[in-house]
Amino acid sequence: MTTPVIQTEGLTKYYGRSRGIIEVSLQVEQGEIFGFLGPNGAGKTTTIRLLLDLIRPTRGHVRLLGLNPQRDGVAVRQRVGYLPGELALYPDLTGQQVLEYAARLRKNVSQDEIARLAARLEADLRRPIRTLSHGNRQKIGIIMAMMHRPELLILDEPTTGLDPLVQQVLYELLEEVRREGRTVFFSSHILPEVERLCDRVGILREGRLVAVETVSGLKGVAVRRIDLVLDGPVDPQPFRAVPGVREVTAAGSTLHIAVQGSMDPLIKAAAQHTVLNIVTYEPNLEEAFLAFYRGDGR
Amino acid sequence: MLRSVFLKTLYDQRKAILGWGLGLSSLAYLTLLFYPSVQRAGEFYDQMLRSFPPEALAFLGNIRSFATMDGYMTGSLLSYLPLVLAIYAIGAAVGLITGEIESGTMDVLLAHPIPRWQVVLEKYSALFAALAAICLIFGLSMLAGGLTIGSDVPPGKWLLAGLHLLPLTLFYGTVAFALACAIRGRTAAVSTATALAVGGYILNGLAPLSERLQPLEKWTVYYWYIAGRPLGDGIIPEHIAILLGGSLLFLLVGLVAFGRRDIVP
Ligand SMILES: Nc1ncnc2c1ncn2[C@@H]1O[C@H](COP(=O)(O)OP(=O)(O)O)[C@@H](O)[C@H]1O
Ligand SMILES: [Mg+2]
Repeated sequence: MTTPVIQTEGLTKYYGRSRGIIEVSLQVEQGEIFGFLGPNGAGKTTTIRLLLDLIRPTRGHVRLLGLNPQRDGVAVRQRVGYLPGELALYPDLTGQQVLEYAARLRKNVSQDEIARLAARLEADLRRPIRTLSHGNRQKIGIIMAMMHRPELLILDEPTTGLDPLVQQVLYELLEEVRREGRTVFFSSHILPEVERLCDRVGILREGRLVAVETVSGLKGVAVRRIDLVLDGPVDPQPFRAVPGVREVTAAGSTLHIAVQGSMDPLIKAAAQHTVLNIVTYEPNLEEAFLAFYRGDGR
Repeated sequence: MLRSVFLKTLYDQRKAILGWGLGLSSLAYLTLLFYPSVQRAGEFYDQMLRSFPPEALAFLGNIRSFATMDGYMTGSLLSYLPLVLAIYAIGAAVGLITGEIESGTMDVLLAHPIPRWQVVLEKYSALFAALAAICLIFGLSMLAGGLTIGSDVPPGKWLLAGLHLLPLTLFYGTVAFALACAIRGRTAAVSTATALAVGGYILNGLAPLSERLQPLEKWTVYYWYIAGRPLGDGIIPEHIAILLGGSLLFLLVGLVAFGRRDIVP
């Protein structure tokens, strides 16, 4: 077996007395996109900053690419790209200058790669950072994280503030990284993007890693809400017996239903009636979590 | 200018270097323009000087006469100038570390393959270079002033008098720098270094007044500066060595502390 790209063991961080993360043990393998999910304050940023040796663990160990980021920091960071959650760049420099400075600090960056990424993201490199919107700054940050073609890309909530088109480009770029056998670790609190992109996800809750699942596993436990609009009131009782259905309430001719796992049995049951409309809601993280907490997820 | 942390940092200080350099320079130049008339009325000024209470004299660098170039320049400028320049040194030192941490750009910087000690050393070197440049500009303006009034002070002495400001201001700056490396936030670094600068100056001024304070005089950092007279009896190499050695010591503290700390905005 190859060494894991990221390996943490009992990783714990307290800020003074306040909790950052507790006993996080995690492995990320080469070539996968690993999603790190959790609501605000769960400890995603703390974990990522520990990986990069910006902060030091209270207890536990980190290995990145088989190396100790505290002892072999320079070697590790040569091979890692990082986009911080709250990206700050020098406001008076242009995007071009920021990237030039970053490239000098790395020494192994090709101008072609910068140009390629800038074109893909439609980033404007000539304007001072100060004049850029949050999303346009984020583009510079993404180029900076990717321009040396790192073996491991660590992104802290990279899509917040990006407009949907740019989000799509980023997803494509990350999929390319995976295709080349490189590894992506990114944090998010948005389930759909994690579902779309990731091979596996780790779920962090109040500082603890509560689950590491394949995405298909997570989909199996995620609770989705749908509304069935029928041509008249129906008895909700038979729907309650449909496999996967967790909850049914009737309001006039509309049924509000919560389903876990496959939709198929529910759709087949609905086909017995005249369905005027189906409204689906993206499963939200909250509900995916709740499934875990209740312990009925597996 | 973006080739290294050192050059980038120095480039960021360009306006400050120019502003402080030219500001202090015009002060020096104007001060020198008045020297001929003060010298002509030397007896008048020295009578005034003799009527000063001793504590006031201490604050003017204990000069004996305004009619010598050393007495005049020390009394009117050089005695308190390090305190003024310390405002820049302390502010810049804390800005280089804490400013970059608080703004969040330190995260990005340290995510690159550069060791923390190198970041500290390059930033410190830039602080050193910026202070040296200001002192040099200051020395050059005194040289220009000296030439304008036809003074017989040799050019090298003017430059030496400018650079003589460096060890003390660098020391104040380094204390602030080391604390910024070690401790989160600006307050501790700025207030400690400022207290050291202002406290030393005041203590040095008050020490001659009281027998209890007298022995402390030689233990203020300021004393190691003011006892040397580049325009008069000459500089005191041991004092300069103490100041530079002290700076080196604080720099080492900063290096070690920064290597161990958490980078938290
Ligand atoms: N600098 C800090 N000082 C004190 N507590 C902190 C600090 N940074 C984060 N925390 C705490 O650590 C926990 C995890 O925060 P964080 O890692 O930022 O979560 P996330 O990125 O998942 O939103 C939170 O409870 C937060 O309050
Ligand atoms: Mg965060």
